[in-house]
This record gives sequence, C-alpha cells and structure tokens, in this order.
Amino acid sequence: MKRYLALMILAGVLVLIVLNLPGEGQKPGGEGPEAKGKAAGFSLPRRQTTLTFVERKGKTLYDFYCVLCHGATGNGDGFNSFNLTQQPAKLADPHLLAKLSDAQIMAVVKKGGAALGLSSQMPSWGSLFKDQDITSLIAYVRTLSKPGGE
Amino acid sequence: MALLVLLLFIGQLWKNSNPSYLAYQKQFKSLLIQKAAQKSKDPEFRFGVRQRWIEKLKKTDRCETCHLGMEDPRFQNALQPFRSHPDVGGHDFEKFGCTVCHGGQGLATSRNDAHGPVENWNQAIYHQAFMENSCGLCHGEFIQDQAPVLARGRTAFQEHGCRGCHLVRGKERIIVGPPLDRMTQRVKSDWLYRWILNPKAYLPKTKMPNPKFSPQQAADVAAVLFQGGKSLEVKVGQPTAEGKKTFLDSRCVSCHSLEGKGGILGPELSKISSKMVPDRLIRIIKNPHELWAASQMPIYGFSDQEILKIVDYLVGEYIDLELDESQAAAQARMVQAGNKLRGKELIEKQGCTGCHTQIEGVKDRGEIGLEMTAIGAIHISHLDFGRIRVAPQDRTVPNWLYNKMKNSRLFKTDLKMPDYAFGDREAEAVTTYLLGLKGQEVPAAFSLPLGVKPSSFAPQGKFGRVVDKYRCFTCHKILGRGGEMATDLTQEGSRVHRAWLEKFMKAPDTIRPILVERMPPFKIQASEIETLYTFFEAALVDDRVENLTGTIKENALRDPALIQQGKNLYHQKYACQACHQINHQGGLIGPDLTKVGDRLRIEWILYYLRNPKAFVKRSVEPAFKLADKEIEAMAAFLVSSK
Repeated sequence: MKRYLALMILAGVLVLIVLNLPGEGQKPGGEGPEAKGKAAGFSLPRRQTTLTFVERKGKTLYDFYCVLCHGATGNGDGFNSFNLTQQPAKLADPHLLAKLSDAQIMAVVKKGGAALGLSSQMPSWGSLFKDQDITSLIAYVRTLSKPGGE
Repeated sequence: MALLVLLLFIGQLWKNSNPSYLAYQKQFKSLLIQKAAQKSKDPEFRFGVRQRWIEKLKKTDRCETCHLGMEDPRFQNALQPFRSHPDVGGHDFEKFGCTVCHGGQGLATSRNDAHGPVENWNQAIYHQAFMENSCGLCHGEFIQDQAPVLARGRTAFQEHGCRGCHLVRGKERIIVGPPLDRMTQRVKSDWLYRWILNPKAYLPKTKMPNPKFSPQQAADVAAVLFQGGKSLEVKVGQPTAEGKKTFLDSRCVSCHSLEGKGGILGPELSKISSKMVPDRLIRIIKNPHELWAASQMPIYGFSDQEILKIVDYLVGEYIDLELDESQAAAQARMVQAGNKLRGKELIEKQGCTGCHTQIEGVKDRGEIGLEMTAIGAIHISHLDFGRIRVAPQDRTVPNWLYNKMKNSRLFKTDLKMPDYAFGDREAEAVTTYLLGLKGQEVPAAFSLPLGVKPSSFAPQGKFGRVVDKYRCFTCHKILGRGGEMATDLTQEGSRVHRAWLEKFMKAPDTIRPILVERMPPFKIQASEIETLYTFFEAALVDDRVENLTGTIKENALRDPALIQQGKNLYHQKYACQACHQINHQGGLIGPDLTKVGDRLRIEWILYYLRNPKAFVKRSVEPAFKLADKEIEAMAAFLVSSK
C-alpha cells in the first residue's frame, strides 16, 4: 500500500514538473500587443501604420517635400500640381512603378527631371538629401502603389 | 524516497538544459544553415544566452538570446524574433543595449517574461505607438522632428494645462485658462451655464475639458462665477456694411473661427452675440491685454467709432440660431437660483483653479492632482483599473494611461479629473509624453539634447512695447523666441528694404499664399514702424549678408543680356515658377516674387541663392547648387521684375 502511495506522489510530482516546462508552441512571428482583451470602453492603441521603420522614415520626407505636388496618396494631385504645366508622376500607379528601378527613381530625385529629359519642374534634391534618405523615400513610394498601401 | 529525489533531480536537470529560448535558437540555426548554404559555408553558431551589460545605464539585456538576427542584414525580412534591427543611425547596440529604448525585462529569457507584463516585474514592453517616449531620456525635452509623436504629446500636455493640477518637478506651472473675474460684465449667464455643462458643444475645438457636472452642479458653479457688478449698457446699432468690411479686412479669422472655419488661437465668433455682453466686446477689441495679461490678441489701432461698428456687426450677425429663447431664460433662472455654497465647494474640489485664476472667493490650492514627475516609471499595481475588466496581458501602464486620456472617468466615476476626451492620435501622443517622464537622468556621456530650447528674449523699451502691443511673438520668432506660424524675423534687417516694410505694415499683402494665417492689418502708427525698422536694421541682421554690400556691381546687374540669362534659368533650367509666382503666373508654395527687388535687398537675394538653407532650415525649398554666374544672372532677373 505504501509503495502505491509513493508511486502516486512520484507520478504527481513528475506531472507538475512537466507542466512547468516551457511550451514548445512558441513560434516566430507571433505578435502580442494587439491581442483581444476587449472590455467595454477599454481600447488598446491601434497600430497606426503597417509601414516598416525605413518606410516610415521615407514617409516623413515625402509628407514634407513631395506631397505638395505628388499628392498624399501619390495620385499626382497635390495642392501645387494644378499650377504645373505637366502633371507630376502618379506614384500610386503600379504600372509606372513596375517600370522604374530603384536606381532610376534615385536618379530622378537626385538630379531632378531636367537632367533626365523629364519635366524641369521636378527639382534636384541631391544636395539636400543623403542617399540613405532617398533610399527610404523610395521604399515608401513603393508602398503607395501596393493595394492596401497608405 | 531516494528514487523520488533522484527523479526530481533529473527532471530539474532536463528543464535546465531545455530553456525556453532553445526552441528559437534551434530554429535560428536551421535558418542560418539555409542562408549560408547559398554560399556553401558552414555557419558558426553557439547555443546559449547572449547578454549585453550596459553598466552606465544599469541595464542587462538578454534580448539577443532570441532576437538573433538583429545585426545580420540577411534577416531583414525574416519573421520575428529573428528580423534584423532597422538602421537607427548612431544608436550602437553595444553602447545602449535594447531595453533603454524598448522597455521590457532585459534579464528575462522567455518570451512572456521579457515582453511582460509580469507580476511584480514592472516594465512592459512599449508598443510601437509609445516607443518615442524613450527618446527624451537622452535627447532632452525639446526634441522635435526626430520624435514627432513625443513632441505632439509635449505640446498637448502644455496647451491643455495639465501642469496646472499635476506637479512635474523641474517644469514650471502654467495656468492656461483665462481669469474668471467680473463675469457679469463679460458673458450671459445662460451661456455660462451651457459652457460649464459641456464646453465642446459650443466650441468643438476648445481645450477646456468637460468637468462632467450635473445640470444642477453646473448651475451652482455658474452662480459662483456669475458675479462682479453691472456692465455698462451699450446701445447696439444695426449691423452695417461698414462694420462688416472692417471686420473682414482686419483678418480676424486668422485667429478666430467662424462656424469652425478659420484660426484656432482665439474663440469662435459665429455665435458671439449669444455669449458676450456687448460692452465687453468693445473693451476686448480696444485693449485685450488690460483684461487678460496673457491674451494673444494684438491691440488694433481702431478708432472708437470703428470698434462700435464692428460690435454692431458681430452682435447683429453672429447669433446662435439654434438657441431656444425660453430654454435660455430657464437656464438663466437656474443660475440665479444656484447654490453658491455648493458651487464654491465644487470649484475647489474639482480643481477649476488648475486652469483659472481670479474666481471670486476661491483660493488656488496649487496642484491637486497626482504628481507626474516619474509617472513613466510607476508600478502597475499603483494604477486602479476599477470596474473595468482587462485581460492580464493588457494590464500595462501604457494601456492604462492611454485609456485614461481617452476617457478620464473610465475606471472610476466620481473622480476630480475632467474629461479631455482625447482622440486616438492625441491620446497616443500624450501617453507617450507621460511615459517619458521617468524622473531620472542618464549619465552625461549619454546625454545628447536635440531640438532648440526656446530663448527668453524679452525686448525692452520702445521696441519691446511695440512687439508686446501687437503680440508679434504669437506668430513670429525673433532670436529664438516666438511662434512658427510666420517668418522668423531674426535676420529681418538684412532681408527687407525700409520702404517695403513701411508699406507692408500699413497694408500687409499676401507674400506666402500657402499659409492659412494672414498678417493682420493692425492700423499701426508710422512712429511704431520707424521703431521696428530701426531695431531690425541695427540688431536683426546677419553680417554674412551685410558684408556683401561693397562687392555688388550694380551696373552689371542691369545688363539686359544678364537679365535674359537669369530669366531663362528661372523659367527653364530651374523651373522656379513651379513654386513661385510672378505676376500671377506660377505655383503657390513659395513666396510671391513679383517686384521682389522692392521687398528683398540685393545682398539678401545673392546670399540666399547661394545658401538657401542658411536661415530657413525647415523649408521645402530645394537646394540647387548654383554657379556664381548663375546666381548673378538670377539675381539680376529677380530685381528687374516689375
């Protein structure tokens, strides 16, 4: 009888140890903060953006400099676009963006339109932006033509 | 028994050799092999805990035990926890570690413990939304563009007068609301009642929070405020076209809104006659500073006759059309019958004095709210979630603060804090700012203040009086002090001609069409313009511009060939007309360049074309690298434009 009791205790302890072990279910990609946890009136901060860090950096530049002509959504309809003799490039157009390589966009931003035989109303930004800035700008501009992009 | 101990021992051994991070590390190793296989090289991988010890910050971070790809660009698009860290320029991991910015438990080696929240272990990891709170730790309290959310939160904290009720050591208490003396001479009692009951119903953009009084309480409080003797009876005439013209020409809407459209500095005017006593309107327009020293409204040089005409127009035209007369009368009676004793008690208890001074018979009791000096480091157990049931993983300090900002009475109903009803964006910003108040300093080696501390430039004498009278600092910055709305005047003496300034101050026209706010025509006196320019010319200059004076060949600039060359550069090579207008031709982003030679001094034009970012750093203007010859030609063309 005593033996059985000892075995029972042993089994119980083993079970406890096993339960205490780390779960094997941890998989990469799981994200925590937006989990449910809904209670009346209580809300969790929504993630404001799906952009990556680099794209967000590009967006900051875009929203300050480019937006005036190219428009907030990249439709070439910015506040100042109506004063130009040639409509600014529609950066939200997937066909246009598919044709352009990163190097080509980089060149237009850096040297301006005139240097590449495009509209001279696109100024050159090379002395103002670092290459790294333009890289992040390109990363953001590419999100404009993606479905569901910002 | 012995068997039991042995089994326990074995179990413990097994557990120790299988820590929770091992699953990640095995996975990472297989990924590493995959990635390396492309280069047919065997990766080196050592199992075990990775730790960075940042002695000076008192941080020990083991995050990289699982976040293994952090410094490896090949993991740029990998799933977490392996994704490489984006380049955050200058934030060396070896020097800073992880948790000083991200929060969380650096010592932990399992996902739940590290990311939190864990009971009795304080730091939950910050959501992406609140990340910027950490920037202020090293970069100081004036950081601006590099941490826009934090900067927005700081501004909101100041503008909503949070400091009035909450002590933050090292930050001065600012009372943001207007003084509330002599209210009988200022507003109508029924309006006062409605305002106290729900300020946003009258003015949706107001910063005044809702104190959440019951109708009876609102009447009691209004009864206390509605004291101060009788106002002068003013005969209000019919609105005239003349009054309307003066009102519109004076560009009042630069600061005041009409039905929500217009500026946000001053109160809404579209229902003003249902709010204000006419005599008070007259006195405000005449001298707003006498009534409220902190008022941002300039003193216009109107004649008494003009003021009367404006008031006739305001009172006659801007009426609250939705207001039910009999209801308003009933509200006025409620205020009259209000219990002043109870009202006084409410005012003291609810902390109205955190924002308002000069309430008859009520003393300021200082900061009555919770001290906020180290609110960002508060332990979650001090925060009461009250009647709200929140899942354990969401019971964090950031989440509590965020919800409190959105609805101050969410967790508990009978609180003192009024309801600011911040939207998602504002609540996020204010929460970020609050989380940044940690009441601690980093060692000097880590301190790198960014942004610009506002200066305490306070001009005295004649010039000081003019600047004060017209409240120039509301919109303009001079030597580091003032607003961002209009041009920085620090180099104004080097920039403009005296004759232009005289003309402009008398009748300001639009220079920058993109700005919403317009310089108001103050009806300034000639002697005051003289005072302004004398100071500009003597003190607000830059020698780099002034030194050009002797070097300019006036005759060469009048050469038609050079002008033509400049014209081509302007219109073709650099396409300046994309942003600037000359004679109504061109874009609307930059300043109008019609007759720009009358406005800007030639020295300024030359210097500016060479270094467009020398003075105006935050402008959208591209910086072309113009050759000396091009600058000369362009300048010649610009000053020739008539």
